[in-house]
Amino acid sequence: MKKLIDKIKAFFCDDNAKAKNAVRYFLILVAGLLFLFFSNDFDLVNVQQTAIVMAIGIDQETQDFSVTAQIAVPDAAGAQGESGTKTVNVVTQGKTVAQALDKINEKTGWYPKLVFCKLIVLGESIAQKNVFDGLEYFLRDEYISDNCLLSTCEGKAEELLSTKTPIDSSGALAIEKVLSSHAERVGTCMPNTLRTFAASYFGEARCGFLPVVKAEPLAKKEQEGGQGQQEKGQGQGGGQKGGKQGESQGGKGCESGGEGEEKVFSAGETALFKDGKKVGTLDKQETFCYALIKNKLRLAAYSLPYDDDTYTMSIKRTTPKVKLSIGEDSQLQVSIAITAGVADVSKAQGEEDTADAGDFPHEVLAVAERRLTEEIHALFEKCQALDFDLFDAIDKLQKYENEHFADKKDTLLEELKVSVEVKVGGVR
Amino acid sequence: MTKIDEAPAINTRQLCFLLAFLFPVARFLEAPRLFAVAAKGDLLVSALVASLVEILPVAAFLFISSKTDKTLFQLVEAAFGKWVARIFSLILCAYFLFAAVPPLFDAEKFSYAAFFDTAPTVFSFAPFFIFSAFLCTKNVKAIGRSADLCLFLFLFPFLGLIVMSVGESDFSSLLPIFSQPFTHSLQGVVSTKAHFSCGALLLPLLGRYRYEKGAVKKVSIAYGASVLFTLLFLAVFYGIYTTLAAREHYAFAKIAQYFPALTVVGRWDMLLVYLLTVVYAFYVCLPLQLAVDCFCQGTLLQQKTLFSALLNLAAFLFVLFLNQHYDAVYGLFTSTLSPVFFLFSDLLPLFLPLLLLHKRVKAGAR
Repeated sequence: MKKLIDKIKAFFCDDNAKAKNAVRYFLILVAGLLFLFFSNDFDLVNVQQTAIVMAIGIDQETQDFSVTAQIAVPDAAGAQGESGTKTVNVVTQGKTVAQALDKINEKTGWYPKLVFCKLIVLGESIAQKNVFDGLEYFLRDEYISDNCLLSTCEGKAEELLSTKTPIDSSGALAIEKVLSSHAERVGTCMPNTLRTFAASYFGEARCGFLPVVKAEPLAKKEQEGGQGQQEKGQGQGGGQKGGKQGESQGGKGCESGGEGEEKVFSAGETALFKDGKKVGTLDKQETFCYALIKNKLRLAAYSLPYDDDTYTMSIKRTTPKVKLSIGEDSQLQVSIAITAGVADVSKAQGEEDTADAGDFPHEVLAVAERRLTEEIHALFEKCQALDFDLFDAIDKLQKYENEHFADKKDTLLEELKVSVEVKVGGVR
Repeated sequence: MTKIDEAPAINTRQLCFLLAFLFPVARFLEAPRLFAVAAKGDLLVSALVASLVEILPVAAFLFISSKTDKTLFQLVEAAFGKWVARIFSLILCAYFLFAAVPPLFDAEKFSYAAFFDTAPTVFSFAPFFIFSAFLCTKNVKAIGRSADLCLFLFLFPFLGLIVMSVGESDFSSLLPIFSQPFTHSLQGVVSTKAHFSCGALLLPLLGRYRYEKGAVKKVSIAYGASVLFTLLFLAVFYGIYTTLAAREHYAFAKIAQYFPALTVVGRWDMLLVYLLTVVYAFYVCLPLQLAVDCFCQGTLLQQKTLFSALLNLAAFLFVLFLNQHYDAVYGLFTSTLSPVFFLFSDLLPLFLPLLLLHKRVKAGAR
């Protein structure tokens, strides 16, 4: 015993003994850590018990939240003998979203892992209330990225996520494709993320937008032609089997399964939210105009009628500018410089017109300018009627005209005038 | 027996690296959020004021170092006697233990949130204390070596993270400057004082720093760089999160996640975060190291290894049991107890040059 005490004393107090024992000490430590690591005593979550949540749908038809989690299940041998990923939709209810998510574990034994969740879909029912009642959890939770895509839909989010699609084995991945950054760049939709939507909600104007994801029959999509056509009254029809039973299966089963109609997704419309509630919707053409003002578009297609023909422009570059000037008549100056080339004309043109890729007839450019100016005016008036700050006027008032902010912030949208200047230049 | 190293151990380069690369990391985790809570878009004004306040103890440290080679213990001993010096060392030890709490809590919560996909066990952070216990047994030379390492461990990941996140940042969110009352900016200075208290961390280095001619210029540049890094980081952070900034914890682990290429190649920005975390680990260990040093000076006990082991065990248990009351403890340190940081990191260094006027100290001056 005395020997042991001397040894311990020597270890702590004697430099030579300490140096001699240091290597042993660390070897024992490393061995201990390795033992803990390989025996899983670090208590890392077992992958077999982990539900990799790819997308979340939130509905609130009653007081309770209904949360649909699309979970990826590793599938060693798929339905057609291929390896792949199957998805399972698990629907749970709770007084809060967190409570509903916890019930996934109760129901399935899987621990929901949200780090790979890249999409949140809000059902129509919650969009009529304050959507942040359901989104607050995702802003608090450190294990889900606020960079995930956020969208809304017509009908139930649960049904949208259960839709069978030939585009991808997972409905969530197919929706993410529709909401890609490329789609944003070409102006076909206005995707938004949880972070930017929440930042606008907590801003002075408390206005934000979300893309409206719709499931459309594949056949109709193929027949669809031209631009600016609106599809109205598209329900969330078939292909939503199993939602009511609490679980439905997508994935490989979709491709071979005979039940339900396969659909494709579109997100051409944009829902407008004020104070977290949906107050209006922009149709496809309005969404395109908004994209023109908000983003710098590249390779976007824009069709317009001229002289019994339809010209399709390929927009190479846009430079939007929005300026607020405060005076007796507060004015929002919107100017957009567009450079575009001819992508196609509905009637075949002669050799002279198509030589060297062809120039836009000057008149067509003037028509494009006039049309876009009118459409932006109409968009502004629509948002003014909704008391919705689509053009970030209140934000600009706060940042650049702060001395007028206190006086004007409540009345600005009402008394604001807009001047629009669109210049379209033809390029080859 | 381990002797307390009283020989000069840190040169000007290492001091500069400490100021430029080690101390700014303390401001990258919770301080951005605290600034945003208090000053909103005026967080840069608040951070600038906090940085200007911190210049004073750094200047006082340089002034004393230029006048005498005595350590803090020797200065106090010469002026007030042995017993006062010992008590003073023990008070400083208590302060460093106190100052270690916010960074320890930050580091623990940060590691759980940034490096784990799901809720980890409470023991996951325990290995940090092994590292800390090891570092605490070392003398102040280890601080200098840590500073040397920080040149590469800080610069590369910091610039990488900034480059990756600057594209997502909307700097117009910082407008208009001075939109908030100045008292809000001052409130930001008070609530982040725990993160802007490097003045006290320099005190035990008195007499162990080898003052050189031209050091003032070099240290000024290093401190300027530190302020620049802090302001740049805060600007990018607020530009990304704007109205959400007040609720965003662990800023440096998050800001780069919006870089478009990461959706294709995965979160390799985490490699940069890991590197910066190593620098942060050095920072978290620093008050514990200094506490051990002050304790050994105050008690004249030579068993650094024993005290280091006991201290880190106590720190581990403290974090283990009090992390459930994180908000309450952290709130206490960033509001009610922030005058303690002002007292030790600003006022104390400012009054220390007065010791040089004492005749017994004068006798031993350069």
